[in-house]
Amino acid sequence: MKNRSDSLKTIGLVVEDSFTDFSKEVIHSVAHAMIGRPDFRLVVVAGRYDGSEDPADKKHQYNLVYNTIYQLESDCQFDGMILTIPGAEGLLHGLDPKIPKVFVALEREGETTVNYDNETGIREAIEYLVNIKGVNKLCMLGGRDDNADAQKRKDIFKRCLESLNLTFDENCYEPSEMNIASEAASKALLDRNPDVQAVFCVNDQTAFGLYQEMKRRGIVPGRDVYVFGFDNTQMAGDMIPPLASVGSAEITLGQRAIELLMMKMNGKEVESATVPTRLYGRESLRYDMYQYTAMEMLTADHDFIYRMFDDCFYRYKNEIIEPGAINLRRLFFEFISRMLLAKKNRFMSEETFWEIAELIEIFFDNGAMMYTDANKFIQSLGRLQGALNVDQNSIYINHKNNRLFSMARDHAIRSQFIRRNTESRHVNDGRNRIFDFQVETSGFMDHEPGDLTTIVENFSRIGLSNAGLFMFSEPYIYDGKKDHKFSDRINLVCVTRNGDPYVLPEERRDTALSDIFCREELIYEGRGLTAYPLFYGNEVYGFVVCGMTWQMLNMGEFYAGQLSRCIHMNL
Amino acid sequence: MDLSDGGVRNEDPGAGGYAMFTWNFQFVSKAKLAETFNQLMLEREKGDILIRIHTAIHKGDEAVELAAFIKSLAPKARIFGTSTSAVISGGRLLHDQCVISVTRMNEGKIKSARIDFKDPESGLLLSPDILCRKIDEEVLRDDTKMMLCFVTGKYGDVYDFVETTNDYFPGVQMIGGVANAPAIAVESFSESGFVFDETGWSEDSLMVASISGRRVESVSSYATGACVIGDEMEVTKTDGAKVLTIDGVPAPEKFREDIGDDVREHPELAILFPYVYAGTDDVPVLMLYSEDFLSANHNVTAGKRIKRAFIYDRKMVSDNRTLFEKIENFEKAETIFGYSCTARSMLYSNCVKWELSIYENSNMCGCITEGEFVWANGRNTFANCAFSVSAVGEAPTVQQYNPYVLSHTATLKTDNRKLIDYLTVMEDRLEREENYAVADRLKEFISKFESKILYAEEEFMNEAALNMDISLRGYDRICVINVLDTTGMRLVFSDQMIAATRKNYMNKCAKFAQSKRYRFYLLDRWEIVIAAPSYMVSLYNFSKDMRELQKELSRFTEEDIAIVPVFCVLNDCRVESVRNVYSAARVEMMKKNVQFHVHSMRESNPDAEIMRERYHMVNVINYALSHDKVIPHYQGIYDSKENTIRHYESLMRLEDESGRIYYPGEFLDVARAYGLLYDSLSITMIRKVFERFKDIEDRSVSINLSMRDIKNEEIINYIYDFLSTVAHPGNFVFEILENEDVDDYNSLVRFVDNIHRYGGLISIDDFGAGYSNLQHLTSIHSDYIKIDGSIVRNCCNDSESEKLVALIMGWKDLSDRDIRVVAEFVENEEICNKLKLYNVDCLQGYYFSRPSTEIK
Repeated sequence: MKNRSDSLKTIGLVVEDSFTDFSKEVIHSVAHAMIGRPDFRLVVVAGRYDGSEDPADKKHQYNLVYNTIYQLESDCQFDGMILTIPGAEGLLHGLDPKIPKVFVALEREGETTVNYDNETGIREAIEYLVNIKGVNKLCMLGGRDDNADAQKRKDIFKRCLESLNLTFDENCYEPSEMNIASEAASKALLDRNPDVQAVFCVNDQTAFGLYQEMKRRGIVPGRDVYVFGFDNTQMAGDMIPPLASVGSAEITLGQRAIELLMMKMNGKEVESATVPTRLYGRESLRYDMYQYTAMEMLTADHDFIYRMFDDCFYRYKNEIIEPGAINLRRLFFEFISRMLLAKKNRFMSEETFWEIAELIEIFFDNGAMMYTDANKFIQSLGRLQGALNVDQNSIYINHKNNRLFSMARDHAIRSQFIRRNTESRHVNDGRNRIFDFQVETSGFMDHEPGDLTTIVENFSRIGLSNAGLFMFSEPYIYDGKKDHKFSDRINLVCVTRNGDPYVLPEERRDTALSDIFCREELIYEGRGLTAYPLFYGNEVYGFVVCGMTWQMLNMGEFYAGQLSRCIHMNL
Repeated sequence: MDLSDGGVRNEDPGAGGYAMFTWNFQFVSKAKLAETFNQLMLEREKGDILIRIHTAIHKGDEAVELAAFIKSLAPKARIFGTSTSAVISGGRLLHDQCVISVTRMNEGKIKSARIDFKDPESGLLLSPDILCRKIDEEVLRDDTKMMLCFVTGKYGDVYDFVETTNDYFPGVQMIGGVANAPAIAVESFSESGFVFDETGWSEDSLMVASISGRRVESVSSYATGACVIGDEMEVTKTDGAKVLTIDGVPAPEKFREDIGDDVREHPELAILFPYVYAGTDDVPVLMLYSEDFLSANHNVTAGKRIKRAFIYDRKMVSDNRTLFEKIENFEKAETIFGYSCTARSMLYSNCVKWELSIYENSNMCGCITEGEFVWANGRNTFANCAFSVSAVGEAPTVQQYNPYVLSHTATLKTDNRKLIDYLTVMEDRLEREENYAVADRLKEFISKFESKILYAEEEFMNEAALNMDISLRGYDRICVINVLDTTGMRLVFSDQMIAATRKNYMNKCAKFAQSKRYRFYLLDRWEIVIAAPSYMVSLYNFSKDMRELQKELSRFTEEDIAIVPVFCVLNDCRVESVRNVYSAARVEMMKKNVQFHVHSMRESNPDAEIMRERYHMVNVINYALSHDKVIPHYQGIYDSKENTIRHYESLMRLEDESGRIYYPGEFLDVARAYGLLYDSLSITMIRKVFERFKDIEDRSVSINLSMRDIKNEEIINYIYDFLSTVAHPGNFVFEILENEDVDDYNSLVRFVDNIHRYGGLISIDDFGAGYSNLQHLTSIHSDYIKIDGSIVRNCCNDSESEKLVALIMGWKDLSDRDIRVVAEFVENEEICNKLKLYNVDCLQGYYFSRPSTEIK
């Protein structure tokens, strides 16, 4: 890839799917680690996991064409690459050995890898279950055989049981596809083991299927059967009841990977690394990572408040916070310490009360809930509140503090509600826009096949605020061969910049395929760029390259698919 | 009936019964009243009940009827009714309303009585002693904590009465005052209000209620805003409530002496200037003005010493703050009484609204009175123009207050503005009427207090406060605002104008900071810091606000001097480094000439590297100067007519200890920044070149001079001396660098003329680049012009550059001056041929010769 200037470096992040929670988590942490590094830009290339070999399988066919997107990784010479595609190892054949690379959650001989230290977290969970809860029948919902990480977790599970004098029985193990469609596997596992007391799921998504199956059987996770997952993704906290999960303790996979990659790009020798893990306790396991004592609370100790924040908002410390942003940790300290101090001094002026109320509002308005899960927060808050109310010697202060606590809870609930609402509104909005787009591009009165003008003119209707539509002069026909090769040249037909459409004049469209992430017309929003292939059947028309937003990770493939269909109809 | 802000029902765990509570509501209709009482279920619960009625809408008989109706709803309740001009309910002042406040005690006892203060037989007023005894009999208990009491204006000895109560019931806090009549008007000032209960109403009675009980606690305080001015005076003659003389002068005259004659037409103005007793500085004694005497409802007798006072905003704020702190800190504030003065509500209407709004969310209930009973220094006393607040309760409870009011005092200014305006007008008028003595006194008064009143916010926090806030409160996002070149301002503008501009500038900043809830500090006369904690506001929003402020400040009014404040936002401040970082940021701002800059302390400081380079360069220059390492190099210039090299340009090189050669591009900027170094380099260089060429006949040399050199007397005198003694002055060409703006044209022209007079030659360097000005060609008689290298270098591949060369040569042809054109940067044959095509006279560049220390 030819860069705009020598000082600008592009980093390619190649993932298996863009929409799984694990990928999102990696993308998020890599993108965040690059905040404040204007000399680097991130490009996400996401394919699709293809577990099928059956040539007649429609999904397999779709995935094959979809995964031609991986061609971009060799066509666009990145300055550095992070790869995490456990299921698509075969696609990694043609990588240029000269480019610095880091593999995430992958084992590869002779390459730099970043993996979880799976053992610490899993052991923490199993020892807790066996020693404290007296569980002796544990099962595991495992992963695919071709997934090294899944196999490792199985081995550790086995080892842990054995070290606790429990035997591992293959009956207690069931492999799954490692995604949310794990109900069948869960059913098999539960059928075989009706007396199961605890289930370890190879990742959080697998647990989702297990939850479904348990619900069907009337089994409540955490009450009847303990469940814990792996990866500690956002999804774990959102499940009902929230899922305990093993996740990175101090630093995330993505952050470690980008650290190593930067060192490699600076010409330093680096060793593969592991990221320590620990168990994040939630309802499904009733495990407290940290217990507060009433004494700590009443003395309003500084360290205690910060510790409470780190425990409650456990995602915050793993996050790289922009230097100009509001310091939530300090903010939390400010209002909690004022509340605790008031309790200690038995006086809170009305002015202080409203000041605290304002701080609480700022705290939640600035996305505090992104760094925790609602249940975790509300429980921690409840414990603190309870401890403060035990001492009844000043009902005046208790009354005020209780009002503040309920304000905090209200804010927490409201911000969760807004988040969910916004998400679903985005989805609906996207759907409506696509519909609108389809209507606009498929009138019958003046419909002339072979004319893409209407598509180009209406491109902005899809609602991608910063995106470019790249199209080959002639569709590339995928012939099923492994070593396919796109044309070197591609046309940037139109772009949207902050939502405004610009159709490029004919003479400025032509560009080298390797430059599609470098065109000046694209706005780089700071988080990254990502590309989706436009294809129908075996015809690949080009790519949509757009700013990487949360919405795009969820909906991008859908948008691209709909756009492809419209192109197909108009050709 | 409208259920306005009620108290919080509070289950007292220790009492075993129902807790004390208070409900306030505005009267709407009897039906609504009945419904509400039904809801309250007062009769089913134990405890004494006090029902206060303050009405501005009922006449005597109607009021009694209302009282009787309420009594029928709550037979056990004690009714306590007064007339008023406006009621206070929930911290708001409501005209033409009636407010009813129900207080039910838990263990506490309520007793009440209506006592006539006129002797029924003689029609004379009863003495305070007799009244006190009657009160003692009727309502007082051993454990009485508080006494609610209202008299009417018909009782002249109110002051004495209140003083006497201190002897009869010491320690019992009295609240209440003089009931006033329903319509607020100056004319009705002397008209009397009335008090009532369910049995009747009277203008000649005193209404009293006691609140007693073991667990009852109360707190009372007041705010007046009165501030003492002037010296003590003695009341010398009185007649009853009339004050006839003060310090031997007729009282009205004495009064007018101080505030002017306007009071004759507007006697209500007297309220602005109450007296206080020497000793109790903040309890105003109101005196009404009339032409013959001043009348006071206080017991002002001959021999009392008084002082002139007036009421202004800052005192008002601080009094209210003290008052509020007492109430806020009182845990048992179940029932809150608030009484404010009618004089206050007339002249300080904004003030009354303002101070009441502190209690906006509480269950404060009360009314406007003609004078208040206040609890001052452990005694009950009678005051005018006061705002008195009392709270009473049996058990801890919760009240809502609105303390932000205390920091939003803008409305108070309006009142003060009125006051100052009045005084200013007075002053003018007195002067016109040649009443100088009074005018001067007034002037003195105004100048003494104007600043206090209007510019109260001049007292800003300083650097120490800033440092404390940075380290303790986390105010680590700051913006330093400064106005540069205020010295220059002083040359042009008067001190007053500068002071006014500064005041305006600071007030704008302070007001802006306050509106955004940032903190404001004054570090130096013009240096201001606005700070915010990083946990409250993001850098983005903070910077945005600061930009807005900058825009705001750049909107000048006509009275102001136009100033350009520079803004420097610093992120992540720490006390120990804030000064250094600010300096670094300022250097950066100067370099880029920007007026707004955001600087993060966390960023590594790229300037440090540059600074190190700079100092290294200074060392190199110093070394070169002291070790004779300023080395002239000479580059030959090819004469395309004669096809030889006879002319050279001298180029400066420096050498350091290790023998490394430095080019002008590396050291000239640094040398210029340290002006004297540059001068030393120049003179050394010129000397060396002269030395080298002075005895050569057939070689000539160019020497580069900058405007700085030309303005340097030492250098040009040296050049003139040299040229006048050398054998071939025509061999020396002085190249004037055009890349600096020629700001002193005269000295340049003089220099050129002098050089020509001494037989030297002049060349214009870098023609066509940067600041070049065609005008120089016409006004400076140069012998050479040198086409800028960037044009020459491109003349083969860029047709526009080629056309420029053609243009210059064309001009030369048209001009009848004997001028030679030199092209530099001739790097290859192609360029050379192209330039020859245009008949360029002289060619200089690597194609012909490289600079060296030797001359061929």
